[in-house]
Amino acid sequence: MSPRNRIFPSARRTLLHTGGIIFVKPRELKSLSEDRLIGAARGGDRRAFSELVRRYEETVYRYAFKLCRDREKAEETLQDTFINVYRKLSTFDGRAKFSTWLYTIVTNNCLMKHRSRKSRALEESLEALEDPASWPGGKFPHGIARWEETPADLVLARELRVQIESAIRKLPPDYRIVFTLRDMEGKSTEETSAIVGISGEATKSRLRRARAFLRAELAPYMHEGRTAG
Amino acid sequence: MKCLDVYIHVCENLDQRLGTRRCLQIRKHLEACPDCRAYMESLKSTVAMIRSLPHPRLSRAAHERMLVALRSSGCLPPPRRPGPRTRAARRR
Repeated sequence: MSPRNRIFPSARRTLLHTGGIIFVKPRELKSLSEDRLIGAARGGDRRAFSELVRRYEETVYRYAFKLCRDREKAEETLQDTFINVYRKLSTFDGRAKFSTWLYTIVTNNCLMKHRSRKSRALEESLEALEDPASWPGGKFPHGIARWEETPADLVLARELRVQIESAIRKLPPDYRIVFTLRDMEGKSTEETSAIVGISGEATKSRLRRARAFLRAELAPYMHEGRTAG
Repeated sequence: MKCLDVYIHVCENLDQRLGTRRCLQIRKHLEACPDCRAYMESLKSTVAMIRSLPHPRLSRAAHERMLVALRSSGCLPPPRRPGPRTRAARRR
């Protein structure tokens, strides 16, 4: 069997094998599977890489925006991400999904732009919230007020949208990343752990603290009803 | 099970109906504890509101700027030169 047959048996009609580098005919790019596209891009085919960019640019931009909360930073992250992907593509070993690897690169690019001392102080205060000493008899330290119904339409109200945006921006990056991946991108605990490079337990505790923080930030604006209990 | 235990573990089960022993204990506690019920409902509302925020799409201009950046970094090939290469173009 020739090397050409071994590499792409079902697509040999559409592929040219030249000097160890696999090039895909431009008109076939859109229908090529992701694995083959990655293989071709790793082999130096920049048109194949261009097709990868086309498939993922919207996903990367939206995720970057959700993390950065800023169009300009999201655009900068988009460009940095694909430049990094191009440079590191030879290190992608296919053990993880390509999208998982891509999310990791976006996440790291955003983290580099956001780390600050202020965030660390807030992270410590989030951890302190779970100190059993501040839960008398294991019960909530203060009564929990019940929120009134909050239909999604309410979010369209400008005042509330501003408050939500402000709450997300205050969340330290490590927590915002986990919250975004789990609750906004719909990733599983396992995939989130793989993207961020932390244990499943750490993912769960960051998600718990992130949700609790966001809830506490929004509580004053939620037309709290009668105090429960 | 105490409120602190529910606070710690309820997040894992926010949208799930799991039948594990711990989930059953949480459910039992929630039935009896208005504070924990209110807390869990408000967490659900928080997540639902944030999910419903509108997010921008990548604009045409931002897409073009990205292509320029990737070409100048050598990641993408130069744009194809326009020319009467197709039959349709030659007919025009």
